[in-house]
Amino acid sequence: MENTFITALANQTTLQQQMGVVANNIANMSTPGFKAQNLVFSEYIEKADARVDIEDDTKDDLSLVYARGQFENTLQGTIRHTGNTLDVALEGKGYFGVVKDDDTYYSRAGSFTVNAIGELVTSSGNLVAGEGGGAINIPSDAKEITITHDGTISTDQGSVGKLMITEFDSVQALEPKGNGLYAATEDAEAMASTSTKVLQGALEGSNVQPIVEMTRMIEISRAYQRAAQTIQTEHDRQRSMIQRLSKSS
Amino acid sequence: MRSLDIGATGMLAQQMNVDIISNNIANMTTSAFKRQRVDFKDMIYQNINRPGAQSSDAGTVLPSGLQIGLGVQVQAAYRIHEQGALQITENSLDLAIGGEGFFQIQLPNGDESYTRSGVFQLNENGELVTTQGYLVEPNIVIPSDAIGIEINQNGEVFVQQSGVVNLTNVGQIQLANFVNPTGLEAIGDNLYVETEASGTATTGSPGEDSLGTIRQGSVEQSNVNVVEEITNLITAQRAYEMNSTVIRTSDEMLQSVAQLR
Repeated sequence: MENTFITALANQTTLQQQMGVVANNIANMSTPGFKAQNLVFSEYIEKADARVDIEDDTKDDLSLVYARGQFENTLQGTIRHTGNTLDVALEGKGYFGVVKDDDTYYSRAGSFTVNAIGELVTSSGNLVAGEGGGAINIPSDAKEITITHDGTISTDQGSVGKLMITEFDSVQALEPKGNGLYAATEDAEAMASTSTKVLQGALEGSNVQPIVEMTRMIEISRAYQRAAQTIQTEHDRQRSMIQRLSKSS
Repeated sequence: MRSLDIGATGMLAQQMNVDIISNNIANMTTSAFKRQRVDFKDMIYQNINRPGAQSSDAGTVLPSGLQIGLGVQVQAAYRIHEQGALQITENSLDLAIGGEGFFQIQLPNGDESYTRSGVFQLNENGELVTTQGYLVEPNIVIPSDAIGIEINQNGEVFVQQSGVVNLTNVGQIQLANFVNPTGLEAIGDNLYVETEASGTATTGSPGEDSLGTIRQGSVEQSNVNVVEEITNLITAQRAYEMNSTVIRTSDEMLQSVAQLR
């Protein structure tokens, strides 16, 4: 008898989660290197024999919905010219290497700067990894910093290092850590970049498409209201049933 | 409901974005002003299912996890030290730096500060000062009988005195530079002070090493690009509106729950 409520509740719970994801996408509409996310819903069948609250002859399998996982939209974000020497955008599927607390993380956000001792760092102050994992040092008296399409950084005094650019077989296996960083899980096979192009003086914007997110939000909102409506209708039905039964007795 | 808070972080971040953009636009004619840019970062993620977690006894793993981001934050609003255009003023005490480097200015409390704005004047003792009256370091004194001041690209200051054929060298302007000029702290009045992030100042004569050269009779304009700022302003405004729609939608969803009995 309570099945309607349980189904509608499962629906509403997942819709709230999806609303969270959409809200996060919209909030990060202007975060450099941000990739839009979306949820995957799955049907979850609750077997009738696992249920004990109802009579045997009315047992039915119950179909519920739950959010199984989330996937990232891997579309390239728009590349915006900034004119800042140390802004770097990636064209292709590679990631920058970032060293934080001795662990390597990956990022698409290339707004770099130089710290007090001349090391190339991200805007959060984490080291940008060079090829092989070490830091990249920019000499203090260097004049012209040029970054070529393959990530080699050179100044007027010659080459100072090369950015570590990593590509993954399965981008979905990267775990977002916030601050534009991703951690590689066991499933993500890292390999050196072959096709990613490095662009200096530009930043990759987020790939969130506002129209898509807005429409999705309307859908969520309406679906949520429909679920609420279902609960309301069932509630009314039960109440009128109780009233009618109590009158007839 | 997460989306309410997430929408709020988005609105706060865009509000700060508009603050920075408006400051850039307000300073578009400030000499040697360097534009700022807001750097957004996504916040931490709430892990509901970690990618790579085991999904069965047979050792199958989840190909992608379920992580819900908790919004956006402003990581930094940093300054872009791109060269501004030089405007010719023909004023002999207007100096612009073509290239890297900062003029060194002594604050009234004796501390060092740095500026790119070379709009200088003389005080009652003939010393080179900023428009606020702060001394330029190293101190340069122009004799009272000088009838012309010539400053060359390497910062050497010459004066022409009446009755003297040759120019007299009265001093040398020194510039300071930093490993990371973005790390300098702005204290207003076009002045910056050194921080741990900027590194210590290395000083030298203009034209030496990485330092730029001095252009007498010109002023460096701000490097604010108005078209870019206006475009950013439009984007920021729309992003703000969309975040407010997120909040409104979440509110409507909650309302439909509140109406249940």
